[in-house]
Amino acid sequence: MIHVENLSLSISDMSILRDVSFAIAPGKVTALVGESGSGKSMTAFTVMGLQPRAAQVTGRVMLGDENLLEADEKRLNRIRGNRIGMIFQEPMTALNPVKTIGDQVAETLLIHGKASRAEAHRIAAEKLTRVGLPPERFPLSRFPHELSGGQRQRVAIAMAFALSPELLIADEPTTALDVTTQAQILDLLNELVDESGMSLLLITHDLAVVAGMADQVAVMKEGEIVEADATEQLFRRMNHPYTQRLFAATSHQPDRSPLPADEVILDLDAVVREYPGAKRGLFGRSEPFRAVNEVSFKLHAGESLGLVGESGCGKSTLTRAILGLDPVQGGTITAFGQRVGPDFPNALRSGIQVVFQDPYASFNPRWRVERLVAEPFHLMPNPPADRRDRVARVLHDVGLGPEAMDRYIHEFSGGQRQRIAIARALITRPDLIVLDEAVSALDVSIRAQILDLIARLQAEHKLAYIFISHDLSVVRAVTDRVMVMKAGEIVEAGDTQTVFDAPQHPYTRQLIAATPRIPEDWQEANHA
Amino acid sequence: MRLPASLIFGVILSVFFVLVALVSFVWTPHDVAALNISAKMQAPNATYWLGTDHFGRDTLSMLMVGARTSIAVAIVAVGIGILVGVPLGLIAAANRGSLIDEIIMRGNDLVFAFPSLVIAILITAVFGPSAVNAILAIGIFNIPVFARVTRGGALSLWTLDYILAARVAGKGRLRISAEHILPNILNLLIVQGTIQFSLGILAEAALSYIGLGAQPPTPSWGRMLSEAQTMIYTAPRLALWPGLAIVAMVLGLNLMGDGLRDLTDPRLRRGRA
Repeated sequence: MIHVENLSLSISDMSILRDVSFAIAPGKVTALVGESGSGKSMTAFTVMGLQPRAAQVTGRVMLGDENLLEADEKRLNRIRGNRIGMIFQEPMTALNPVKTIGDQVAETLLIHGKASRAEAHRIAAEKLTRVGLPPERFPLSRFPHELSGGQRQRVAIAMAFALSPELLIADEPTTALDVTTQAQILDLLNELVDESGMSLLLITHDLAVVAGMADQVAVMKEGEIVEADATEQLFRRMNHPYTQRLFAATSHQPDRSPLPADEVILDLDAVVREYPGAKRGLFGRSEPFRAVNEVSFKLHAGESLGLVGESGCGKSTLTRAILGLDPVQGGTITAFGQRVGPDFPNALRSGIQVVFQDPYASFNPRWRVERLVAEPFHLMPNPPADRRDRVARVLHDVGLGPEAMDRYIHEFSGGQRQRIAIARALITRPDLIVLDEAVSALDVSIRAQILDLIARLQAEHKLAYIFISHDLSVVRAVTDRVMVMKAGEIVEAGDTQTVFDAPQHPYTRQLIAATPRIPEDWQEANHA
Repeated sequence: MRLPASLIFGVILSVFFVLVALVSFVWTPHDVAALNISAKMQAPNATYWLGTDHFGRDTLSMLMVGARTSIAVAIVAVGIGILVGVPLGLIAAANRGSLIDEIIMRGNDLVFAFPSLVIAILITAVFGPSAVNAILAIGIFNIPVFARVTRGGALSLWTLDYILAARVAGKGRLRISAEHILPNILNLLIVQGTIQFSLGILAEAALSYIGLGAQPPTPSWGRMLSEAQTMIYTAPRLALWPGLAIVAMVLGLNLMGDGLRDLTDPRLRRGRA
């Protein structure tokens, strides 16, 4: 029904897409898989006629017998939203914050003149009910900020689905969501495809999501489709080396040998962290919000401890308390035998360092790498005289050359930045590094490299890690022990293998069940 | 790297006026204080390039010295605003939600609540009209502007991971403000600074226009305008020259501020390279 034929796109002589061809059959789910920069989103935008103005496009995008590349803007506007709908990755910014959800869904109908105002609102209510937001519980007069991320994504789906398009393009629709929410949204998309007979073009970097959803898969790399086939065949055969590499990176297990753990370096006892309640009136405040509720655990030297939970469960708040950035309202945090608090000595503080999630927000853009990496030296009473050598050494440790020192951070890719962040954490030779979603923003192949790096550094420097992530497969690959956190409390803790193989708490089971995975026998066929 | 044309134009205009002001210290075509009634109301000619006014003073010389007055008032007024306002804004942002923050920002609101020109008139009326009092009056009203811009810019930076990283590195709030926050809001301050600079020039002209700024015989663009007002039909050029000077100077500063903002951002710099 949609045929993309020999689609090529270039922007000022830089080739972005080369000879991309695929077909999307009615009622089927077709997936475009690839890493960032592979051209998968650009392909989708071009199908919608939303490519950048400066782009030169050749080839054909056939919707029925019409070549969309030759259609003018007016014609495309009649097709967009009507025959082709689209949803995006970020539910927080995909909706207009000053319009109610009812108006936003109705708008699609009104723009295309398909209904009167009253009729449009009736259909909007119907569609919102279909995506799981019935007007009894979620009135049309709600504003986006009153909904959670998953609910907003449902509104976005209702908008795209309002006119029952023939094709729905979903660009990383669940990447920004928690696993349990992701599972629900994927289920919803599946149901809509089955019911309405529309086709779904699913764009994602996640092979496991593809395995569970798609009928057809096309793997993209550097603007080309390197391999395309029915999903099961593609996973079983993996003809192209890139597909194999991508697959290997997804289920990558870094080599690591657990270190003997005896000495306790960090000890949390019934830690409570509360935020003051919202202001009420001039002086009143509502009840304080308890983000971390009586959390206790011990961490040994050289140990890898995973902390798993969905957004808002309090894992980042707990991190900040461990780092001594925020005061605690109850319990004690003891590190290296000293209580963590305002008078925690700097010399000991240098023993705990941190790597954050976003490689783009982790560095002052106006400093050169040498100064960035050397910043934690501030903790030492006498900064070492051989500062430049020390910086060069940790950069070497993370696989970067000394020439990196004199460059600014914007000259580095996301993966390189994360290496520099690790270098900064290593510079004071700490005993513990807190990795707060440190690989979540990276492409799978880069993620595999960083995980290897983290494992190697642990062995070389006898490091302990607290590995915080929402991604269970990663935590499983790199930790000895794991804790599952929900609503500020640790609901389950134990050996990583035990917890994952035989989860005790219902919430842990729910998390593990919601995690998309590639069927075991597909993988076995591949290894055989 | 290619510089944008608007920046070059803005810099040329601004530098031109600064040079004119500097030259006026050592040389002007005629003595600005000398009255020469026999040469009054002359049209532009070889001796008086831009003509003379009703006292026979040379318009060009007065414009040159007037530039000096305007720039001096604006520099000191913006300087007061930056030196007081920026630290206040940084402190408020570093202690967000605390009592200090409240005191600083409510104090700001208090100053903002008064119409600036009216208070400037009050100050000069109480302490006597002079260039110094005009500077102080304009300067005080620059403080909350800079405090607010600084706090707003700083607050969004305080949520970023590299600030957290600096805290993990044991750095205190003041040190982080100086090392991380200030350099990253410089571009905001430069833009605000040039806007306030041009507003300062306008404010000085306004105060002088109503006789509360620089006092005779010190020439000032504002007073040249007010003196020319009575002769607007007989000699419109007398009002035209200082008016043009004000417009050109303000335009130049604004273009320069815009261009500088783009240049000071390393990310934008890469984008253009």
